[in-house]
Formats: sequence, C-alpha cells, structure tokens
Amino acid sequence: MEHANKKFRFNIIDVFVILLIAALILGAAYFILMETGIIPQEKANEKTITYTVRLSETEAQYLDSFAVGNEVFNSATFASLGSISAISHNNSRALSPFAEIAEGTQQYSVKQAEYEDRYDIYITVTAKASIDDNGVAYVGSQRITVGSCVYFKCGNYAATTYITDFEIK
Amino acid sequence: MATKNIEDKPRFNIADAIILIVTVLILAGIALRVYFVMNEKTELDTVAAEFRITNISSEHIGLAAQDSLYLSSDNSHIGYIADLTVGDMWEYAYNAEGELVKASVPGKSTVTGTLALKGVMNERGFHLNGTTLITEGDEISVYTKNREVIIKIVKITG
Repeated sequence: MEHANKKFRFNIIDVFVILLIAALILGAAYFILMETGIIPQEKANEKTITYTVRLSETEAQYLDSFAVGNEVFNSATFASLGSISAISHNNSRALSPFAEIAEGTQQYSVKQAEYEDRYDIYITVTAKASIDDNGVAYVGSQRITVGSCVYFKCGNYAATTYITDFEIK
Repeated sequence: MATKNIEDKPRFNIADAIILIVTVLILAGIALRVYFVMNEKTELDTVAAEFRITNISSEHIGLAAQDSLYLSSDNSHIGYIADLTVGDMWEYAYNAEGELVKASVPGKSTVTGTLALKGVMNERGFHLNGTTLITEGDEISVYTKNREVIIKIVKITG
C-alpha cells in the first residue's frame, strides 16, 4: 500500500536532459532540411547562372539518359542543382605511353587516341545561384567554380563530374 | 492515513550527479576552447610560398595574379596569388626507338608561381591562418572566385 501511489516525478536533471536531446534533434533536423533545400537559404544576391559539367569517358548507352529540360540533383543530398539547358558530346581521348615529334617542332608530344565507344558529355545546367561576399557563386550549397566537383544525378543516372565553365547572367 | 511522502520528493541520485558532472565538463571544455581560439588572434604574417599545379586543362586555367585564395575545406581566406606562369605539362613517354623521352601533354598545362599566404611562422613551421601546419610538399585544395584547384606547396620561402 505504501508504494501503490508512488508517483514518478521529474527532477531538474531529467528536464535538462530532455531539453538537451530535443535541442539536438531539432538542430539535426534543421541542418538536414537546409542541406536538401527544403528550407530555402537566405537568397542574398540571387542571380541566374549557367554552368557546364563534364561527364568523362561515359559509355555510349548513356547518351540518351539526358534531355534538355530534365532536372539535375546532387546525388549525395538530392538537392536540386538546376535544369539542363544544353547537351553536347565528343569522343573521349586517352593518352598513350608513347611520344612522337610534334608537327612543326623538335619536341616530343605524348600521343593521344580517341576512344570509339566512350564519350565526354558536356551538360549545361541553368539554375538560380546566390553570390557570397567573396563573389563566389553557390547553387544551394554547391560551389560553382571551374574545377569544382559535382555529384551529378539525372533520372536514374549518377556520376562524379567537374565544372568546366560557368557564366553568371 | 496518507503518509506525506518523503519518498515522493524528487531525489537527486548518483545517475543525475554523473550526468550533471559530465555536462558541466563538456560545457567547460567548449568554453575554454572558444576562449583560447578567441585569444589566439595573433597577428598573422604574410609568407611567400612557391607553388605548382599540374594536369590543369589549358583551356580552363582560370587563375590570375592577385586572385584571393580560400581553403576548400572551411572557406577561410588564406591569401592570394602573387604571380604565376603557365607552361606546358611534361611527362615521360617512349619514342619510336623505345627510349624514354620527355614529352609535352596536349591540352594540359602546368602552372607555377608564388602565393602570399597568411599565417604564423614559428619554430614548428608555418601555420596557415595560425592553425594548420603546412609543409613543403603538401597539397591543399583551394578556390578563387573562378577556379578550384589542388595546389602543391613546393617551397616556403618566408
């Protein structure tokens, strides 16, 4: 009987721990929502940007995986990176371990050969970008500079690509 | 008769004490770290360092003297490019006689020059922004307004 009505009571430590856990969960949720672009970040200095990514040595069967108008995403965070505005491709080139005298010079140049069935695909994407205080453009959290790595996803195709060109409109 | 319940009062037990002590230690650690970082704002020197970038596309050099440099990992400003020279990229390859010769790589360039880096030079070496030790031979990923590259620090000249 003594214990029949023993109530469970919170003490101040329990309250503190619960508040701490709640703060951690809210912080993590906010961070995830910001990264995926569900919560839009401050649109300071927003401009339209076009940038081109290169998909190197891509097999011929993937040439039809992209079309103008398709949306592009970051394959790691699924944040939108814009939509495709142009596509081009050329045969990939490989460097050989052999050298030849370059035409019109006395210097050796490494020989190159074209792959028959591998292509460098150049995809131009148009998106809204924010420009930070240093003049660097970002689409969401993706930095847009030549050489920046982009984890590219379009439809069911994903690849690691690099930016080869960009223009801020 | 309802005994007024001494047992019903919230009691402070050993688990609560442990949680409290650990939390206080964590908060104290964070506070100390912030304090040291804030007070560590020593005057940063500008140090000259020779650099090299290889295997860069000749069509997309995208770098110029006076470009500000930022560290890719934390976006901190680390200095600027003082001067640069763009040259051919060279590799060793076999000629028709099977001899190993130095040959230029079509479409690729090597960029060399000097960086002006902000940091602290002390007896342990050069610390970029006063925090990260950088030694000759290190490669760092940096970006400018237009270009992101991996730079090799060839020589720190002081």
